[in-house]
Amino acid sequence: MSERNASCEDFWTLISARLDGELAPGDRQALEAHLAACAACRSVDEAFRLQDSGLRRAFVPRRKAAAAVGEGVAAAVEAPRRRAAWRAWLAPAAAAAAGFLVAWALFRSPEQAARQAAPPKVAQVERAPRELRAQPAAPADAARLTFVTGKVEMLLPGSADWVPVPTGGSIEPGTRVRTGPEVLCELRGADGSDLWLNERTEVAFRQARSFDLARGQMGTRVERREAPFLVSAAGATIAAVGTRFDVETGPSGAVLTVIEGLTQVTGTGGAFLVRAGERATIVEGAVREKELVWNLLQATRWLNVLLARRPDAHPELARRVDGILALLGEAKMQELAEEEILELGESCVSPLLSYVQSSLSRPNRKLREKAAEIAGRLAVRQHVHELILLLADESAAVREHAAGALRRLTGEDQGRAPRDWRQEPWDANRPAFDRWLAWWKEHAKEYSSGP
Amino acid sequence: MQSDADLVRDALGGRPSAYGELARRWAPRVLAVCHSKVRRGGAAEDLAQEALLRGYAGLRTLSDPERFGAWLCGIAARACLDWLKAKARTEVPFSVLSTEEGVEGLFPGKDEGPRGVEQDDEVRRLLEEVEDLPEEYRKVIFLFYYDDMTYQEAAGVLGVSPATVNARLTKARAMLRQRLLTNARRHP
Repeated sequence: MSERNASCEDFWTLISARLDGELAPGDRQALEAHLAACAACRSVDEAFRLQDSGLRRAFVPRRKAAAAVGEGVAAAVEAPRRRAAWRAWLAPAAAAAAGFLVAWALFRSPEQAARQAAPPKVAQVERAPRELRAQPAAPADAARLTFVTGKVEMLLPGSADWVPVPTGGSIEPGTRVRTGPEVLCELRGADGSDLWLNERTEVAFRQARSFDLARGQMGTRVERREAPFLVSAAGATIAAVGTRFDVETGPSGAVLTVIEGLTQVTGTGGAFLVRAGERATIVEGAVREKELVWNLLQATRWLNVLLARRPDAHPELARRVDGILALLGEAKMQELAEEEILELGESCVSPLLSYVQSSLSRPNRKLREKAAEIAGRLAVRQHVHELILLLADESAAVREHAAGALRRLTGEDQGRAPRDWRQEPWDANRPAFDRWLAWWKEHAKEYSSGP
Repeated sequence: MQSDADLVRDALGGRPSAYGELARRWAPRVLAVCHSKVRRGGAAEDLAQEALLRGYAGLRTLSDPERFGAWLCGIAARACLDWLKAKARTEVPFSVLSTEEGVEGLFPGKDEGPRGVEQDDEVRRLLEEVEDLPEEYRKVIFLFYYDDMTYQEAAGVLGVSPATVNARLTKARAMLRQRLLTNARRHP
């Protein structure tokens, strides 16, 4: 009996190998002969097959998670894709109406946010000379003050006296900077990163890309560099490669809100990742709580106040407009019937596309795909570039809708019919996707503005 | 397709998108390694992401680009050990990681919807049984089903021969079959 089992178990490795497409040609005949004679091994063969198909099904969500991890890291290290659609959407003719809409969305007052509910009154608006605003600080400086709404003070290394910082003034490493009541300011780091300080905030500039938040609140847009960007608060260090986040200190610790990208919080409690759309409470060097924040624009509303006070448009405001478009797209999808959206016409396309591309749409796959379908039906020439980028979407249905819309708008399909874009894994679509990107380089001008 | 080593050299030469390609390529295997170490899908995703980012930050310390995969899996394994140690040291270092449910709720989009829709009970039980296998067996299953690897490729990641991969997979399948049969008898 035991001898028979031992030899049967040898055949199990062949059964396994056959299942995995790894059976050596010389073993095939021996396996088939044994299976013909041994009922026990036939039952093992059948069980392994069933198990294999069960495992394949069980791993479908896991494989998607793996793809999401890969894409997340790739997005964190690759240069950010610049999206231009909102600008087209804010075409001059629509600017007045859209401006009102944006202002409404930016300043809509949330009931609960106590601090944000009363944006500080702006005492005075100063602006830096254009050349200072446009350029990062010189490498020897940690940062340069580019915009203030009142008096900002600094404490130079080795000095005991706080002195005012002029707009355009540079901040050396080792300097502490503070804002008083109702004063907000913007700094441009030596690496090109943006830093915004809320009122009653104090920050120590250790060196380029390294800061201590002693009190108050700071927002950042971190420029991608090899060296991590570090902010210390509440006994922990927040590290980011290229991302946007906001940190607010309070009596019991710090609250980190990540708007885009990924941060790592390291302290005595270990290392934790905090992603876009998440808010983490950091107490005594450890992440105590993590929650999802859907309305990031409201969550970091103090920054809107500062950005909107600037006399010129800051790219950060553009990013926030993208976020608002996504919210508008979501609202349309949730509150209007399909026919109603279709009746509204092409003005819905940018909000819907922004919604599809934002994290807002992640939890609801069907709604997301429907949004892509409607956007595809309504899209006009100015949306071609965004539709091309959607050909790389993780959802097969979104890709198909994008490809259908592209064929309608350009008369091209780059040798791949819309339904073929459903093919998985995505790599099968890569050659056609690359052809679309190359095509866009040639034709961008023809499609850059609305009809 | 460019080799891993070529992509490493491109990334070091100032083309970050080459590392993006490596991250996409290796994410399933790194996640498989992490999942087999910590036995929780959600926590494994965090750790895989961390390992891939650590890999990017430390790419210059990789002496032999040909060994990128093994080096990266080593980083992943260390990240998991750190996490397991931290988890053992503090009671609840991070409340949301304490249950699988919490993690899934925290990262919408990683799952396609309510678990009940996508994953019927049978399929979920199968995944739990895999997580309960001894490490060397669950690791080979994870590598195989997270990523379609050949025995040769899996052997490279595991540092064993292709014949050992075949033997471990067979043993893992036999153990799974036995456990599922036992469960079926217990809960007919």
